[in-house]
Amino acid sequence: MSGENLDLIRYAIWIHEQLCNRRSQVVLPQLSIERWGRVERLHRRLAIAIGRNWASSVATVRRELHDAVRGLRYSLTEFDERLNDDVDSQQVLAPREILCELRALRDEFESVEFDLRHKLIRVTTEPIELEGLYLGPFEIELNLLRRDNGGLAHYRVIARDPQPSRRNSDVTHPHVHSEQLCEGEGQAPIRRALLSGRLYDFFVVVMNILRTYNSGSPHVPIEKWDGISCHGCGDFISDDDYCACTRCGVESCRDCSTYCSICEDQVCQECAARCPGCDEWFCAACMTECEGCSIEFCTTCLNEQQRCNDCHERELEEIEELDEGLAEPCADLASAEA
Amino acid sequence: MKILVINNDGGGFADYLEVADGATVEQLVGQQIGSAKPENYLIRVNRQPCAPDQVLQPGDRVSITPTKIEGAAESASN
Repeated sequence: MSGENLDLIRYAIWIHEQLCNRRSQVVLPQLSIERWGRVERLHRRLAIAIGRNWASSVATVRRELHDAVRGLRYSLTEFDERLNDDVDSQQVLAPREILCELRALRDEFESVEFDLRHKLIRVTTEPIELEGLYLGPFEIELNLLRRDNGGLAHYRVIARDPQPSRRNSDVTHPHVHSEQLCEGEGQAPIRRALLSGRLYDFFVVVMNILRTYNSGSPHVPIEKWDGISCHGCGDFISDDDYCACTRCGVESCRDCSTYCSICEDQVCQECAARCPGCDEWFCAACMTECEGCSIEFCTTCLNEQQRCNDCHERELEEIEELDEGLAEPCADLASAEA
Repeated sequence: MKILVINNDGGGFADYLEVADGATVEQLVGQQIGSAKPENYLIRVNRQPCAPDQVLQPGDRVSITPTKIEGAAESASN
């Protein structure tokens, strides 16, 4: 028996032991409170937008809320499944079967590496291309020593010829962010495969996720992979610099968008207006016409009678003049009577 | 005869099934995937490629994995 075969046999035995040990441990699944918080915040924003009849903002926030609810539902489903994880129903493969799993990887994948010292298994896919977008090959690295928060062996998806999105350099594949795969439909088969030691199935499922584009839920859509240009200045916008106008929906960089301190929304240059009173920028919808001169001001620069400072002072002058005008005839009349 | 079927379309469960003697891979897969197209699945018997008309043997391990599995933008547990 060759040395390599002996090492592989030992590896299979060790994997079997690890899996059996994992079955005896109870892992408390994590509950995502943040997702509920996000749903709450977006719900409040939607209520504000509806109340103020901001149609474009309503459409945008409604979409974001829909995504947030879907994310919350997803995390609750995952939490529930973890809570009811019936480990015993999935038998751990015998060492002999695990050995077959390891050998089968070499038949299925072009590049397979067993790092026995660090207990890693690395499988490299063929170059991935999705809808004409070249993403390069990916290495799926399974770490049998490290566990994720669900107690399963941890794995990374590493781009070997990275073609990251210009919008977010951490996204090397529409469903891979910071080397973490968002498993989506593959979550359940991946988990059951790892629980029982069906390593061949695990790698095949991950590979098929990488080969599939889900246009409904990517980190970065393929059509925006090379970035989007700012509506104002035309430069490419990264995710950190990205603003969507809550009025008309156009996408701008932060330099070309305005934060309205009245409604607390971000708007583009075309939906913004400068108050001639305080010289600050606000969204046009938050500006109000002065009752005197009909020029638009922010609410802070209008008094209770909806008049700007100039019109208010002019009005005071007119009242004073009127008073003086009335006072002279009265004085003449008084002296005449005397 | 008893065989092991792993259906990675959905829950990813591995179950032992009783199938008739002489049953082929195509017949078994048809029962598992219903009206779906077989070409949309990666079918392996004992982790090896197989022909649709391959006759199943007792103890065979048949895995059925969709070729298209949609990931998401939501963070996985990993």
